[in-house]
Amino acid sequence: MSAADRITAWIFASQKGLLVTILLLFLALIAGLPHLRFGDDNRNFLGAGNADYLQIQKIEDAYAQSTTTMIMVIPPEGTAFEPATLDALRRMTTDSWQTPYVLRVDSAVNYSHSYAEGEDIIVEPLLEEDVDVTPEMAARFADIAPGSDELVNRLIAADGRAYGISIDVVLPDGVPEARRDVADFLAGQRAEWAADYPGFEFRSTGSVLGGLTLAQAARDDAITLVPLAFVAAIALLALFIRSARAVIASTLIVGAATLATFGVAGWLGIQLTAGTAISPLAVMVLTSASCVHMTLAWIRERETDDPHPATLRALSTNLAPITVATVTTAIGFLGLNFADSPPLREMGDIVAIGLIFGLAAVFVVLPFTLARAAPGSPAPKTLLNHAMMEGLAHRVLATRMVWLIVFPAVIAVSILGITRIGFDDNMLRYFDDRYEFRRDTDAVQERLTGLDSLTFSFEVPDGSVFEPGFLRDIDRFTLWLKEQEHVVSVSSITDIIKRMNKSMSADDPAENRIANSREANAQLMMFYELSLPIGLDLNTQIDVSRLQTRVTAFIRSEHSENLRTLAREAEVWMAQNTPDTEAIAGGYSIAFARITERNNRQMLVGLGVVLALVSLILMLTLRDVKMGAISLVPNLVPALMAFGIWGITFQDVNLGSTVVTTMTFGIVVDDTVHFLMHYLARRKRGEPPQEAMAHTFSVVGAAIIITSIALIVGFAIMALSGFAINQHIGALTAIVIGFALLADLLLLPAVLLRFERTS
Amino acid sequence: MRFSGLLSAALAALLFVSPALAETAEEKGYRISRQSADTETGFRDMSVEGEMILYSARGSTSTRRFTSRTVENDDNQGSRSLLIFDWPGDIRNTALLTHSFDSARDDQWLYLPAVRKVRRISSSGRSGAFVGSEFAYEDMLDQNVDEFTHVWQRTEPCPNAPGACDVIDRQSKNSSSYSLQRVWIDQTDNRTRVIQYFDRRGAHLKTLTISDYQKYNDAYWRPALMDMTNHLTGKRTELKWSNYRFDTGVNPTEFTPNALRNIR
Repeated sequence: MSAADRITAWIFASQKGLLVTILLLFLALIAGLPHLRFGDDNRNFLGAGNADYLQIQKIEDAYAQSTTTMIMVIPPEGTAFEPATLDALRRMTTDSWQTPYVLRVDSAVNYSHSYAEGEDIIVEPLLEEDVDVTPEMAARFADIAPGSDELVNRLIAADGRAYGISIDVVLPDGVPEARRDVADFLAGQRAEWAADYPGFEFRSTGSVLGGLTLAQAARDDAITLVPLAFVAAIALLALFIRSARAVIASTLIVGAATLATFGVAGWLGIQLTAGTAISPLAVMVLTSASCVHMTLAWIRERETDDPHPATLRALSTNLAPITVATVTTAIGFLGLNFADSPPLREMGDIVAIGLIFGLAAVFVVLPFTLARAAPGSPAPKTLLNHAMMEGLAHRVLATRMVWLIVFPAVIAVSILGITRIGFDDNMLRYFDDRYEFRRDTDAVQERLTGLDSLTFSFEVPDGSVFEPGFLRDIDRFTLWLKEQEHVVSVSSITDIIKRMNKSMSADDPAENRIANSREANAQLMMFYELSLPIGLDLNTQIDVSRLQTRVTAFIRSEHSENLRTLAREAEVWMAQNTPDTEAIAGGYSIAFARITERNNRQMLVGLGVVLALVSLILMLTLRDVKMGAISLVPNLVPALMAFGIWGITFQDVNLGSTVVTTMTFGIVVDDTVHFLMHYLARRKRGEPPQEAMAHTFSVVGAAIIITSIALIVGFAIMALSGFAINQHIGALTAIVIGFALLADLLLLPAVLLRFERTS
Repeated sequence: MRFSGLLSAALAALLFVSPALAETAEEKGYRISRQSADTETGFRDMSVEGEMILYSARGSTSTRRFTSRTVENDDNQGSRSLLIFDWPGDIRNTALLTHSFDSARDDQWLYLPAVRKVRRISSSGRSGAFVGSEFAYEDMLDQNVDEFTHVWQRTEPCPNAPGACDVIDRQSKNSSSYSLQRVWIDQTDNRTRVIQYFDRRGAHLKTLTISDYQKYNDAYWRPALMDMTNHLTGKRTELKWSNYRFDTGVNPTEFTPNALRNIR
């Protein structure tokens, strides 16, 4: 009696106890469901040790930890500078001060405009408060606002047709509903304004709304795509396997494993985001694949035997392959822990745990059900029968030389395709057009401003930020930045100091420069600061110790390469032109622009570890080092080809792609495990290679095809998500599995036979 | 007998409590605020040194130092004050002159020694962060009682001192950057102990706690420490007062924009 037979016997002997155990385990896991939360914080995607994130925290600590919501106001065509429009804009600005957790509100009407008037320097809101807007005031506004560097492309569109109201809020810790409060308030204001000012159009964007959309996308995926995938998986099972008993048992197992996975996420305290909410779908399709293997083996045995002995044999022969396949898959998912981005790590963990639960359920529930089929009943049918599989085997073997040429050719093309791949990650563009947030964001970017930004925080080596040399360097850098492609607006204190210096000399244009002494600059700034109203202070631009100041460039970019290029060029420019005054580019835009590259670097290590572990398991399982090495071929080629095709067609990948290679390696190895274990068993029985191959096709071919189709459909459904990370994970994984199927059926036999001949 | 006893007791009670019964919450609030203000004025002139320590949300600090001189106008209507900075070094000798009036908006000028110019500060602003701190300029001063409506709320133990405090809500009669200020005034010596500031939307934005009071010249209570915490940003500013001096014989006419250039 083999070990597999003994375990099978034990499973059958203690079936009732095991069933109860699985049920209790299931109940314990789904008790975690009430703890499930949807995360609405973009920062969730940045790991604690991420250098870009640390830089963001440094910046937030020095200035203000606030997030901006931008509301774009488009007045009716041709009325932008009419008194009634400005009156409306002023009221909207005032209303915005009522936003929960508001730190400051900036718009063209409350902009602190300054100018000299005789011996006085007036610093006042561009539009006076508390009085009706007269035609004269409107004319003055129309004269000044479109010419102000600090307003244009930020709070007023370059064409003067749209306004921006920028609302900074400080989200408190420990108040999970804070974002919702802010968004609800602003939605209410928008509705009120729309009613009071017919003909006005409003659009809003920013990270508060983006965070909520993140949670919304997660909820949408969990509620629509996961059930859709479930229906698809069951439909496929029913299509391929004509056994109601097996399909119903599989439905229960797959459903339970999916729910248990959500439960695990609840217990682990994981906040589901758009990146993780969909991951139980992976457990669903992978567990259904195990069910397929088990059921097909049972049906094969049923052709010659009654249900009970057939079940015993099916379980005994599948115990090792299904266990090895599931463990390697789990290792692939655990490999995601090498990623920097927490949602990817969390996805790996919950899927790995869900898979192990699914494995236990398959071994306990399925045999229990299958063994109880009526003795003597006819064997169920499958869509793909032995004859078809053997026919396929003969055709593949007859054409094997073709595949040995076709595959390397495709790989060569793929490598070319991979060189074309670009990285594009942007928190705003992760959502597709089905979300209002994305549509609004695109509109704001098109009509008003650039929503990406780079923040350069300069620290003075000694003295204070008001050192003339330091400020002149920053001024030169600011001027350089303004000239760069994609940059629409730059905010820098040097503009304020220059303006104040000019005003101090009766607005003499020649004095529009940094003053010659540190004291003069400090005092000019102090004068300006004393003139500011509450909330509109300089603490968002200069730190309280007066040692750091930041320059922010607002950027209208279509691709994150724009940001990476600008960040790189800015750093090079500073090194060459202002070597004493340098800063690195920081902020969320650049952190996301670099997130794929960063995760890729780490996942490369993860892939290496997973590769080594899985290969080791394969070698141990197959008890054959050479076979283990050969098995790598059909498992590495698919990812190569998938990324190659992607590079040729879609070109850009995002954060989701970084985990695909490692994750799919664990998945696609399954088919190879099943294939090689059967093939080697046949060979050990003395069958010649060709015959062993034909048998292997007839025994596991159908299972490999059916499970691959189920996986492709499942991950393709994941790609229907409105969130780009899921789209890329789903689509790329489906393509990899498709290529893996081809590699297992076409390439692996050819390579095996070639290897047999040479050895 | 029994009846008349009851009546006289009732009469006595009525007489005893009648001032309280007759006084509305507004009147009581005003009366207490007025008493508190009166303990602080009448000093003619005063000088004091201030040191601000600004704390970021994560605890890094920065310091500002200045000398403040105040002189009450001869007609006792308002005052003139001069704030001369000492630290940070690049604003040393920068001087802020304020003329405050009981019934009109204050006038302010700044002397910038580096460019040797005096410039008036336009009146629309001034409510922002004072030299980057959590204080607005107005938060550091005693408020003119008549600029506010006062509503007495309740009596309760002082939050940061022994004894009982009256809690009074005051609202500016003019436009203000705060929707409401809630003031705790102790009953022992009518000193302001705590002020909570509520922003435009009525949220509790800042809290000022005032402590280490000392009596000068047997007449004026003055604190040594004012601590302002911003609940939105988590930032905090400590303002330490030292070296109070009263009645040193300053002439209010020296506190003019033209005289600013000569001040050292």
